[in-house]
Amino acid sequence: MKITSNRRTSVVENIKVISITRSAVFQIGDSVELNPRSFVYAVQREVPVYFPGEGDFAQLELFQERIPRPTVTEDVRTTFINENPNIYVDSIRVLGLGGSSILQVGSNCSVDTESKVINIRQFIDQDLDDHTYMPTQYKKSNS
Amino acid sequence: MKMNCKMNYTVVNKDIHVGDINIIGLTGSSVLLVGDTEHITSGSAFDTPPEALIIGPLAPLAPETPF
Repeated sequence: MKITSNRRTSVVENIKVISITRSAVFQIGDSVELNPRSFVYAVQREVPVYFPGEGDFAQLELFQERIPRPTVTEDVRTTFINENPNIYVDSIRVLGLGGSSILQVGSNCSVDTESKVINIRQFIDQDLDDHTYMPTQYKKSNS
Repeated sequence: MKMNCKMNYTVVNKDIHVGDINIIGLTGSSVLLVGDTEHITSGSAFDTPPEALIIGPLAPLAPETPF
C-alpha cells in the first residue's frame, strides 16, 4: 500500500492510558494499516463454575456473519493543503481502551476495526431439583 | 443521458491546537486519531440472544465440536 507524503506531524504533550484490553491498539507513530478484531463470548454465572471445552464460536451465528462494509464507488478527487504541518494536543487521558478500539498519535493509510460481543447471564432457579452440574459445595443441604 | 459525475474536494488544514481530551472508555471498534488517514471502516455487533438471560439449572454451554 502506498504511503502518501502529505501527512502532518502530531504533537501530544502528555498521554495517560490506564488499561488496554480485547484487541485494542494504542499506537504512537505512523502506521500503514490497523485491522483489529475481537470476538467476545462473555458468560456470567450466579455460581461461578465453568467446564473445560465449553462454548463453541462455530455454533454462534453472530461470529459467522460478516458485518457489511460500505463500498466506495464515487469518483472523488481529494486535495489536502496543510498550511500548518502540525496537529497539537495538550493532553489525552483515557481510562479504558477495549473491543478493537484504537488510539493513535500519528497518521495511517487505513483502519478497519471490528468487534462482536455476546453476553450471557445464567442464574440458578432455587425451586428446581435438577442440579446435575452443580458442584457439591454449592448444593443446598436438604435439612 | 449518462452523466460523468466527478467531485473535487479540497481541504485546507490550518492551525489546530486541542487542549485536554478526557475519555472514560473507548470500546466497540471506536477510533481516536490524532493525525491523518485515508480510510476508516468500523463495525461492531452486540448480540443479546434469547438465551442471554437463563434462569434454571446450571447447564454447560454447547461444547466445541471435535475436528
